[in-house]
Amino acid sequence: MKQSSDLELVNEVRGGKRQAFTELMRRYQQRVYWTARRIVGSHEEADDIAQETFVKAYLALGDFRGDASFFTWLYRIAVNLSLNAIRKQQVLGYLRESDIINRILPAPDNPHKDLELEEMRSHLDRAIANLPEKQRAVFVMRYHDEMSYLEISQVLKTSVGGLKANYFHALRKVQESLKDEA
Amino acid sequence: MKLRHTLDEPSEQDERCAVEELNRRLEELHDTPVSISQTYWSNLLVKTNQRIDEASSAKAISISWAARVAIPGVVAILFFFIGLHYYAPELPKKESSVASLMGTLPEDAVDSLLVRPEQVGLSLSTADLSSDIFQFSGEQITEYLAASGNHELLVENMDDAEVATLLAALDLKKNL
Repeated sequence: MKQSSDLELVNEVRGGKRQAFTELMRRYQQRVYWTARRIVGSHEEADDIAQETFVKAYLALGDFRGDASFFTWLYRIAVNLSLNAIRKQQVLGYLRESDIINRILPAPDNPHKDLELEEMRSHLDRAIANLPEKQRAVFVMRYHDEMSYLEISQVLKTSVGGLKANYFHALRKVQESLKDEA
Repeated sequence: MKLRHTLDEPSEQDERCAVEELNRRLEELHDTPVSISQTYWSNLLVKTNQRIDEASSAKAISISWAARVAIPGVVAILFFFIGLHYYAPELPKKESSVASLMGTLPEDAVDSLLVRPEQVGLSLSTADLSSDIFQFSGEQITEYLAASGNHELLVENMDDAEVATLLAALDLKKNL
């Protein structure tokens, strides 16, 4: 049986066939999850971002004009949500450092919890977590998802030249982090 | 700016070398990526579908609320203000009262007006008066002159027939 293209499925969803969207989710949920997971670094947040990505995509499907592929469009939503999540983490981290959050939130039951979570991540994931947000996103898209610079530039809406420089710097920094771990 | 790009932008060869070096290092570290069971993916599909249902119904509620309540409400308020702007009933012009009008007149003029004072109340306004208020009938003038005792003027104002009638009346009174 011939598999429907993404665009055919999108048109079916627009025609009211909800099942077609479930098929689109089945196709891309793993890639969306892993992209989010590598950018934000935690399973819980990646899980939430993956769900939110599809919810947003479903509600905004009327705005999808088909200029880029459906996956590029979906990917853009996922990366933007992930970058927003990092920014929130950074704000929260800053507030924790400034001791405001510690006064508001109760102390965690298990003080070793963060350490355990850290151990559950691979060496590479930990190295990625040390990158600045833009380099992190570019690294994940290029190294893990093997996307072309043109596709990445469509997602992040930046120049190809800048992306190449970002990726190269990210590769160097990840190598340095791994050297330190070794 | 272009010079900066050419300096910063690495060649494909540079990039390939850096990736190979990274892969070699990861092999040395025996880095194993975290794996996730198939059950999680099935559950993720279900959870996402539930969230889409919730979000869709929330959106549908907000749209139906807007259609049923908000939009007609806004339109009604708009019409009300437009109507108020264009069709506001004009307040009746306040007429000056006869009393205040009389206050501005000279005494002689007031005397000439008060031929029938019983008809002029303080609450009476100029709108209640006829437009020919300052035009008096001959009968009104006669009554005024008779009441004020100005007999000479009274007779002067009479026509011949009236004078004859008056004289006849006086003769009749004399005979009696």
